[in-house]
Amino acid sequence: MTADVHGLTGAYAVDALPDDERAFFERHLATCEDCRREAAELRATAAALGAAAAEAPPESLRARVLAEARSTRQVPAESDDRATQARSQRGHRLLQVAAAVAALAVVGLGVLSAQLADRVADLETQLAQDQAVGDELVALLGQPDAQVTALEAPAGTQASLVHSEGAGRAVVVTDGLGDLPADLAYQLWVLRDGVPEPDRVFRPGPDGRAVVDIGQPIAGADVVAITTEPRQGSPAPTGEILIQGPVDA
Amino acid sequence: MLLVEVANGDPEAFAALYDRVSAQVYGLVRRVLRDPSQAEEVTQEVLLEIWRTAARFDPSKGGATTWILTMAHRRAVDRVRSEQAGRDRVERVGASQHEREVDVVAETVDARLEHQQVRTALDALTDLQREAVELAYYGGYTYREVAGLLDTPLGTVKTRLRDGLIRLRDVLGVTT
Repeated sequence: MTADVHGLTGAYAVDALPDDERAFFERHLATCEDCRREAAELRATAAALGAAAAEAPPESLRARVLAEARSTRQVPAESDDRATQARSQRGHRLLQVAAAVAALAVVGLGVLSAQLADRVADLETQLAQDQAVGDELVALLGQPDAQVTALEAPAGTQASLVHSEGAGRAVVVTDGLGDLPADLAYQLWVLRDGVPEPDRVFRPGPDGRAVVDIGQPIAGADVVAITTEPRQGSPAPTGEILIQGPVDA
Repeated sequence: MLLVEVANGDPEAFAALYDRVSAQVYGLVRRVLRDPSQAEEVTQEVLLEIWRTAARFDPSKGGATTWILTMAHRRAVDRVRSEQAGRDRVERVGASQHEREVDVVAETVDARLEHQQVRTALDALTDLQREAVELAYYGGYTYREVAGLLDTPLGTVKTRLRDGLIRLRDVLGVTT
């Protein structure tokens, strides 16, 4: 596979790589200038193919598009200042966490029959735990050196790594992680020089949400990854990699 | 430069941009998606994304048309892959059907090519390279699906895509 990677520029340029291979190849691009240059040229070539297929859309589309633009905010140019970027990323993440915690808080309202009282008690305990987790995550995000890195995940799933050297904590946050049968779980791995060190085993909460503390220090590690494993976890990965990303973006 | 004015929020610049690129976006998206109403939806999404992120366009990384059509192709492919499970798409196109598929793609491209340049450039490819490039680009298939459709090894498809695009690049004189 490693020997083949330079030969992927063509498939990449026409979007013919499946998501996992695309993520792998984009990571390669970050380290290979020849491939970067070739990929850019082949993308421009593909765009020429695209332009050749031009066809006028229905007239009615124009007014709809222009109208929607009028009510759509534009994003600013990307800031070169990493601190500014990190701050705005943190702000965005804080909102996401707050929304998640608020959604959990909806549980517990309403009139319930006696049979459901036990269930409510369970959920309230869960909620209290979730809120504690949410509070801790917010505290981590508030650290001045907190970094949030998006991880590559399948469509419909989001995952991020939140890391503060100063606080000595790193956490993986997921949303939309798929349900698993009872005999399986997700497992975190921390990779150094290509060697995966096993870490926490977890099962997703409702909506595939999970906030998972990374047990080992990650300073100096290369990649964080999540695989599917048997319920009790594995010493070395056996399942396919679902989610992965760099420790330092 | 039009994208700069669009990035500044100028609605007339955006209207001018729409008039300049909407046919290219719609034509490409329609080729990949086939269904005209889905093609309209994705075209709208692409143009709104251009409006939304025009300030992020980096001219040092390539031209505006490349940026726009790369975005359009990416979104069309994502839509077609999420709408139909990959296996379904390949299985639906059985051995005899796939030949028709390739012919349909070729005929449509032939009929609608506005640029003689591109048609001539495609002729410079071997039949096998052209087939792989057209299936992947206009068909929106992954290279694995193309390999299945053409009953060809994975490595061969990857090589044909790369060699075919390099040839196109050289014949068209594309630089970035």
